[in-house]
Amino acid sequence: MNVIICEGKNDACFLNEIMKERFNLRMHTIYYHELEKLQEMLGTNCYNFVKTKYPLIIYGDGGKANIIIALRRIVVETLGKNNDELYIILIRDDDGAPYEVLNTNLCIELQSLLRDRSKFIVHIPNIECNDDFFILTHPRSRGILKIKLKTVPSNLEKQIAKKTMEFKGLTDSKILEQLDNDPHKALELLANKYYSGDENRLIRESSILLKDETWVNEINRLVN
Amino acid sequence: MEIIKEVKISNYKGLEDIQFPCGSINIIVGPNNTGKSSILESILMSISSLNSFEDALEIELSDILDLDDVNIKYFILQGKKKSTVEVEIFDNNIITLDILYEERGYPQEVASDFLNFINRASTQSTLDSIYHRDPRKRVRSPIYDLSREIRFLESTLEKEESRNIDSKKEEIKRMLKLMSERLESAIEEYRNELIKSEKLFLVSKLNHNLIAMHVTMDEYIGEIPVLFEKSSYNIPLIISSPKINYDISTLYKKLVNTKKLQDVLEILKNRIPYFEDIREVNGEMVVLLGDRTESLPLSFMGDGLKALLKLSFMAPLVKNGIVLFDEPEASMHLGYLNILAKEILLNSSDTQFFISTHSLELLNKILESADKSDKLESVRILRLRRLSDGFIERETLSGGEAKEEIESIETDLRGF
Repeated sequence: MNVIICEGKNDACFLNEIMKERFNLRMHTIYYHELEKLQEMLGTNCYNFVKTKYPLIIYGDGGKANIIIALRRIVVETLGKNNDELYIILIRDDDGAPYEVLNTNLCIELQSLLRDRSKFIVHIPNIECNDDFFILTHPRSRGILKIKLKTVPSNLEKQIAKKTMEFKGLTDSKILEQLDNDPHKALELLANKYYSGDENRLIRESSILLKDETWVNEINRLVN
Repeated sequence: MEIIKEVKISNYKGLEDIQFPCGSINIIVGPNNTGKSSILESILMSISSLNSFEDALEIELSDILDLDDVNIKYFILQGKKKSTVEVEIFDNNIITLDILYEERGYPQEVASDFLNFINRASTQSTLDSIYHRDPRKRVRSPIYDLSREIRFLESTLEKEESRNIDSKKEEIKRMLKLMSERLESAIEEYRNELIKSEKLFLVSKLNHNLIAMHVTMDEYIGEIPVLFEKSSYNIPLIISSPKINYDISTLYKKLVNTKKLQDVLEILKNRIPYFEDIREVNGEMVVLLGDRTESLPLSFMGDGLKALLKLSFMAPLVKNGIVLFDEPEASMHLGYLNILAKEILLNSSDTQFFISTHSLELLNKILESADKSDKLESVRILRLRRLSDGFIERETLSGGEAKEEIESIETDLRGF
């Protein structure tokens, strides 16, 4: 089963649109601030049913600050629970940082989590890095947790705003100025201009413009 | 109050290996069959071993452990012969409770104490009473049959007394000899059966010094005290479990005796607007409600109020002690859960709580109340989850960590 954990509601909305063609109704997206829903879907009682019904779950709206907290919770909650391969793709904005740095930080974060005695004390889970994937296993289970970091160049809002402006041939200096300073604001201004303030619609409709971008193709390729 | 600092459990029921640090308020959460109640039982056994395996209300272990209905071998993890509960208490003292299973006989480490006990019981005529703890056995007991025969002989003798007893002397002698032989053989049979039967030994040590040994046998009711050394520590402990139906009037009387009733009633009156008083009238518990001129029998009250009264009465009874609540939320509306959470917080300064729950509301209410009273760090959450091979994995969170997770990503701390 594939789980995409992304930074926010906008990301979840965008990825939902991108994956729609492949997964259609066999995909479940959690847009809002509710990790408990994801926990329930990955819990022992629902797991097999959910896996068959939804091979892909997209979880967003943890917010940039909370994406690692959410990942930690899901790792602790699911590692070793099912004899299955759970594949987590963590999608985050690179905000100008090199991928290697972000990936190393993730590796350190995961290692420290697995060695946290408040989480695991008797049996310490294993972590190995293979082909850019982190593979986590628990000594008392045959289940595997695969984690892969994928970054969005700069940030998603900027990508959408930039592409929309290109497509519309827009050279509004006010929006252009916000593109680097506050991409969320740029997105808001564009939504106001073209979609009566409906940001959601702007994101969905612009996804088609971005679907041939290398980073989008890579995300698509990563989902099994 | 932190009486217990840390708990380590190995091979008890489904718990293979688990250890966790404790706070003043310990909340145990997890899906069904992850061992929440087993953890409470382990704590109960080890702490009550200081008090001959009884809680503050003289509830025996057998009442809580279902010893009558379950084969004793299931108390130890499958394939193992020994379970250990190690509890670190204040002043760096350690209580170690070993639970030893033997299908036939007894483990070497308890041999001398157990055989001494059997020999002592044989000579002190207490063997029969041990044997008779199971009423089903009583009917078949040869000693019971013999005592009936002796009573018959006595009544016959009384009747014969007025007549010439000399003619019966020989017959009486012969009967008494026969009975004596049968009695000896019955005692021997008992000894052998007690020695050979399937057994579970509870052996408790305080800092490696033996303080208590109880044994229970398959098909016997309850546990038999083999040895008990009065320890310098006696930690008051009380357990509320769905398996025990406490009588509220007993708790009420205990509170009256300990002069703590008024304090508890004041708190309840402040928090339940329509509640005025509870008292005993002519042996019946009655409740006074603000909107009624006459009192009503407690039995007329809803299960939620009864449960709240029961739990509110319990905690003050074990000041400087330990309270174990197994799923206290049963029958309680959110409002009562809020009151219970506040009661727990209020009492936690001189009582340590271990609470197993499925109620997210109770968990959140305790965290909220702790946050308001600046006691978040006294709360610890123990989350249990079952791995695919049956191993129970645990996670511990401080109250602060738990609150932060709920606020930032809306984690359901009970897990799924």
